Formats: sequence, C-alpha cells, structure tokens
Amino acid sequence: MPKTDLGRSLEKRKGSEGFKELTADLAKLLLVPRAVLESVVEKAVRTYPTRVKEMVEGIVDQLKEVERDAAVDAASALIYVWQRSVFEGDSSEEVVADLKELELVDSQVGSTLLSLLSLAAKEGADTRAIAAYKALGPPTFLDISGTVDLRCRFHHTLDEFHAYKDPADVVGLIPTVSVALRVVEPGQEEKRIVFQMDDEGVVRMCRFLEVTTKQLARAKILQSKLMEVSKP
Amino acid sequence: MTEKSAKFVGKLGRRLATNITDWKYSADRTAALPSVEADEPEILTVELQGLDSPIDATEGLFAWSSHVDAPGRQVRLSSFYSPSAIAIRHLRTEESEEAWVGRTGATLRVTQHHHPLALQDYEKWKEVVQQARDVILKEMERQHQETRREIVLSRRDILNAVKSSPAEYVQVVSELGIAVCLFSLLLRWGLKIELINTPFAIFLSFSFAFYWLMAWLKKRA
Repeated sequence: MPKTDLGRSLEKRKGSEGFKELTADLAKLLLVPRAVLESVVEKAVRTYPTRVKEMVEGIVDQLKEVERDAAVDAASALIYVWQRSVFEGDSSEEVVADLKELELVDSQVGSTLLSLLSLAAKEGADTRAIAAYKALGPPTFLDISGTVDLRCRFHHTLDEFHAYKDPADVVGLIPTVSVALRVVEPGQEEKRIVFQMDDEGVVRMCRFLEVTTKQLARAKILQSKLMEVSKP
Repeated sequence: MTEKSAKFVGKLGRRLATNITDWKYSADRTAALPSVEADEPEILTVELQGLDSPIDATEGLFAWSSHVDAPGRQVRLSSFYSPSAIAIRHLRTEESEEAWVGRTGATLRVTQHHHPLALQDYEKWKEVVQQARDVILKEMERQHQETRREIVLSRRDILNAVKSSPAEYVQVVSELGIAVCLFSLLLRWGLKIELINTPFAIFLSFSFAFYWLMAWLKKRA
C-alpha cells in the first residue's frame, strides 16, 4: 500500500498510458550522464516552481542530438516526481519505496532516483518557503523607478510561513529585480510593462542582450560590405 | 471592510466559516461549497470590488498585499483555502475555480487555480515538456540557418571583391603569405623549430610585402 500521495495517485492510474510512459522515462535515468541530471536538479531547486523551457534549454545546450531525447525524457520524469514529492511534503525514501512497490522503478533506477531526490532535498530544504515569498507579488513601490526590492525571508518552511510564525531571524534574502519597460509603438499610446525577475531571469536577459547586440553588429558589418560590393 | 472580516480573510481557512456572521448572503453558506481539494494551497487571486472603506494594511491578508489600495485591483497570494469556506456563488472552469463571498457594500472574489502543471497527470506534464523541446529545437535550427546564410553571404562578398579587383586578390594572398612566414620565423626563434628555411622565409616576407605595396598603389591609382 503506497504511503505517499504520489504513490496513491499513481496506483489509481496503474496500467494507463501515462503510467507506462513514466516508467519508461524513469528507466532512462540510467542512460543520461549524472552531471547533466545533477545540473537539472540544481536548476529546478533554484527556480522552483520549475520553468519547463529553461529546464529543457539546459539539457539541449549540454548534450548531443543522440542523447538529447533520452535526457529530456529522463529529466521530465525526474522533475515530475520531485515536484510532486516537494509539493506534498513526502520524503525521498518514501517516494522511491512507493515507486518500487508500484514497479515503476527497479532497484538500480530507484537508487539513482533516490540519490537525485536526496540531492534536491539537501539543496532546497526551503524551496517551498522561497517560492511562497516570491509569490507574494510585486513590491509596494514598484511603480517608482529605481526601487530596490530585497526580500527578507523569516521562515524556513512553508508551514511556518502559513502559520504566520513570528519572525525571529532572517533566514535568507531573496533578491528580485523589478523591471519597468516603456513600450512605444507608432500610432499607439505609450504602454508601461512592469514585471519581476529573479537572478536567473537577469542572467538570461543579459545573455539575450549580448547575443542580440552581437547579431546587430554583425548585420551592420554585413550590410556595409554588401553596399561596397554592389557599388559599380 | 471591518477589522473582523479582514482578520477572517487573512486566515483564509476554517475561520472563513466561523468568524463571519454579517454577510449578506450568509443563509446560502451551504449552497455551493467549492469542491476544490483541501490539501494544498495554490495561487489565489483576490479582487476587491466596491469597498466602501480603506483597507487596513496590517490585517491578515492585507498584510501580505499592502499595496492593494484600490477597489478592483488584483493581487496574487499564496494561502490555504478550505472547502469549508462560505461561497455565495461558485464557478468552476477548467483552469480555476472562483467563489464570491460578500457583504453589503463589498464583495470578495477568491479564485483558486488548479494544481500547478507538475501536479497534473504525467501525460500533460510530458506534453508541455515535449512542446518546449520542439520550440527550442526549432529556434536552434533557425539560428543555424541564419548563421549559414551569413557565412554564404560573407564568402560571396569576398569572392565578389576579388573578382572586381585583382589588386585585392594580390593583397589578400600577400597578407596570408606574410602571416605564414612570420609564424614560421617566430617558431624558429622561439622554439627552435624550422618550418621554412630561415633566409628563404625572410626573403619571402619582403617579397610579399613588396607585392602588397604594389597592389596597394595599383588600387590607389
């Protein structure tokens, strides 16, 4: 009899297509380099709740075409199990025991999965509390340009957060970047788009800007060369 | 909103059912209870409509969202939501469930979105992952094609330049020759490895320099 919510919900779906797919994808954990899976876990913990596109990007960047599909499938299964266990507050051991009982994983896959889930648990003990703090919404003075939002976290766990436990210590700082973009389109009124980014988002935006700047510079050089050549 | 109801909202949960007594539709408190699962919190969207008094930002819910200062403005927050909550009106869609609770002069709408993506069936989660993979692969393919196009254009550019002016061609060949000769001389003096006979390399360097200069003069003329 499964002990975890994940185990119980999967038990109800035993034999379904999703169940078979999950079994097949979990088996692929053995085919993917350990370092890739660890990086997936680390990123997932850092950016919980998982951003699917970023997760897949991380894998695609690291692997060749042959290994890519297996890695995406394995990561998909791994993150699914991890998110369910995090969300329901189940321990890694119990989750893996249930999966073994339901014959979703054999002992070899089970031990790999357990080590990865344990790594995730170790890395992100406060994952849900951090996510809850991020979900609080934009800062009060978001509309004022130049506002810096440094969010202090006073709770280790989500339960403490929900129980309004009195703040005693600052257990973490969550830097968030508030972005206010002015969008001006011809013939339309000026629009102001305000949103928040975490450090991961900032890194991605910097990368995007760097690539775009290089592309623009290349395009300019190319254009000037073509102009020169096309001169009679 | 009274202090009492603000506290009550802030503790979203069983207090919702017990603390409120003065709601306009309190008689309907059992009429349409949300059938959401009580196990876990989700993102709630709370919209305040037609409030006739300012919100006390220090109370319960509003301590979390102290920027809510205008009726109709939306906030998002995480909290527990209990099925025992009073719901005057209840609407269930595929994406979310909404419940309205209210009193004279004020209505509070609570929207509970369904479980996050990862908590749905594995098929749905996998589908989203596959879609993300397809999008990324298409984007990579597009970038690859763009790079190829740029290389082709650059090559065509150089060939056109060479065709249009033999002097350009001579200059390019001379620059290449000088680079090779200098590299071999550096190896010779630095690592004692002789790629090209040293006097010959020096002679070639000067020759290429001479050719380069002649081509440059030709271009100028």
